[in-house]
Order: sequence, then structure tokens, then C-alpha cells
Amino acid sequence: MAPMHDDKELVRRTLQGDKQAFEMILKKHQQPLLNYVGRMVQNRELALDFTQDIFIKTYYALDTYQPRYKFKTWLFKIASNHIIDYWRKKKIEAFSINHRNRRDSDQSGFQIPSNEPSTCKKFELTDLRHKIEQALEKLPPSLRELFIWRHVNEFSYEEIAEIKGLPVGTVKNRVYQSKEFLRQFLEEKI
Amino acid sequence: MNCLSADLIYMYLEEGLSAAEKQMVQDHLSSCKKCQRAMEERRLLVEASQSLPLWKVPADFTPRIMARIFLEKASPREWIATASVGIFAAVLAFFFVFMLSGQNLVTLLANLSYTVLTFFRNIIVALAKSVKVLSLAVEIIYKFISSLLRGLASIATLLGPELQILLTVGVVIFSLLFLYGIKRKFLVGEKT
Repeated sequence: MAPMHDDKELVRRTLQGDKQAFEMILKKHQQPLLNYVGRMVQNRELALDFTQDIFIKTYYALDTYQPRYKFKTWLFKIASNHIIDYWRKKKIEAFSINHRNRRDSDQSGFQIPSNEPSTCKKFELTDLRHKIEQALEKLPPSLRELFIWRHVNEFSYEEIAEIKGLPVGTVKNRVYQSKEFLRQFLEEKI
Repeated sequence: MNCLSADLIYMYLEEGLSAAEKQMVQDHLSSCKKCQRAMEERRLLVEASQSLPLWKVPADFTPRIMARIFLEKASPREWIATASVGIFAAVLAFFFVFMLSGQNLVTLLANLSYTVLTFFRNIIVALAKSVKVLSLAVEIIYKFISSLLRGLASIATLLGPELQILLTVGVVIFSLLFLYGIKRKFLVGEKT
């Protein structure tokens, strides 16, 4: 029997008209969702509006949710599509990842340069976090999204692959690219 | 052994290596200052990323979403109370206008009824015109579809039975693909 607070159980109860069950879904997922949306759109008011819209979309699409998938990955796929639509409407080429990720099959391209300076060590942790937030704004959104899921939301590579419909290897490589991008950005900032 | 590649370092940090690979990395690290530095560098980056500050969720965030989804239906008592307040406000406004205008009450009532009647008369005329336009549009669409069907029937008589079947199958496939396209376009929250 599914635990009372299991996502799938909460979805089932919501579909039966239990408002409290949906409220529990909201409380459980609003923080990770806002962390993701906020860093994607870089604007607090917009992030709050988007997060609300995403939950409302999710509520009205609940009857199409298939329990064989994780609810969390389904929710974040809706969120990702919502943000992609926003970029498209603004005509910002943000999620066209093909030309940016030329190195999907070329991981060996990143070798450690000799006498590499220890960039991160030069910052205090708080300072480093601040610099990472700044660097995230410069990261192409297609990579930023994967980085946030992996290192802020702490999703597994398999979960990210399920959200984006990509092979796990491709996801790993793109997350790796995003980290190197950030590290190089921090290095240039010194 | 060559120096460690960055992706190998990340895999080591994320516990993504086999025991043998892990041992190999550790052996190399014990004798290579450059890789020790690189490892420390990336460890700090990952640790700092995993402890970035949260985006604060406002206290009324959940109630706001719940209110947007589940708009509370007013009870009959609330409806009566709202209607009473509305009527009272309208009567009050009327007497306020009456006092300001300095007109006599009968004249004011006559003017008011004239305004209301004119409003409804205009609405009725506008409605009648809309109905007329709508019926004309329906008639035009009907005639267009009839002509189209007659044209298709004429073409069908010129074709052999095999071609007729082929054409029908083609039209059905095209329609299904069209409907599928529409569905994909409007599908909310595509499943993984």
C-alpha cells in the first residue's frame, strides 16, 4: 500500500476531489520548483508567477498523469516546457542546444591545463556561491537547466534524462560541460 | 599515468567510478600536486553549487494558488447579502443624484426610465443584427461545403474504383495526421 504522502497517492486523492491532497503536493514541490524557475528566469516576480502557472497547469493536467512515471519528473517537464514557451514567445534563442553542445561525444576535450590556478579556493564559500549565481546567468539556458536540476535540486542523472527525454550519457556530458563553463567563467572573473 | 581529465574528477567526486577506477585516481592524486589542486577546485565548485541559497517562497504562496484553482462558491446566504448591499447602494446613489440634480422626483424617474428603455432598445437592435450576420455566415459556409462536395463527386465519377479507394485512404490518413498534429500542439504537460 502506498504511503499517505506519496506523490502518486496524493495525485489519486486530488483526482477524487481531495483539495488537501493537492495542497500537500504544492507544499512539497514549491520550493524546489521555485529554485529552478527563479534561476532560469532570473526575476523574482516572474518566477513566482511562473511557478503558480505551472502548478495550475499541472492541476488541470493531473488526469493525464501516468503513475508509472515519477510525479516529480512529470512536474518539472511541465515547468521546463512552460519556460521554453516563454523564451519562444520572447523570441530568445535559448533552448536551441544542438549548436552549443558540439562536445556531447567529445568529453576528452577538457583536459586540465598545466599549472591551473585554484580559482575556487580564492573565494570564501559565501562569496563563491555569489559568484556561481552570477556565472549561472551567463550559462546558456539549456545547460543551466541541467546544472540546476543536478546540483541545486539534486536530481539523479536518470531523473534528468527522464524529464528531458535524453540518454543518460548525454545528460552527464552536458552537466559536465556546464560545470566546466562555470569554472572557466569564475577563473576569467578573477 | 597521465593527469586526470576533468570529467574523471567529477565522476570521482560524484561517486560514479568503480572501485578499481577510484583506487587508480587516488593513487595518482597521492603523487600529483596539479591534480590535487584540480580536484580541490572542482570539489569546492560542486559543494558551493549544492548549497546555493533557496529562493524564498512567500508565506501566502500556497493559499494564493489554491484560491486560483478552487474558487470558492458563494453560499445562498452570501448571494442574498451581496444582492442586498447592491440594491441598497443603487437606491442610495439614485437619491444622491436626485438631491444633486435639483430636479423633481417624477422628472428624474421619467428620465431614468427613458434611458433604461433606450438602452434595451439598442441592445435588441444589436442582437437582431448579429443574428442576421450569423445566419448569413452559416448560409455561405453551407453553400461552400455543398459546392465542394458536388465538385468532389464529379471528380470521383471520372476516376476508377481503385483510384477512388486510394483517394479515400489518402484523405483519411491525412485527416488522422492533421488531428494528431493538433493534439500534439495543444497537449499540456507532455508525458515523459
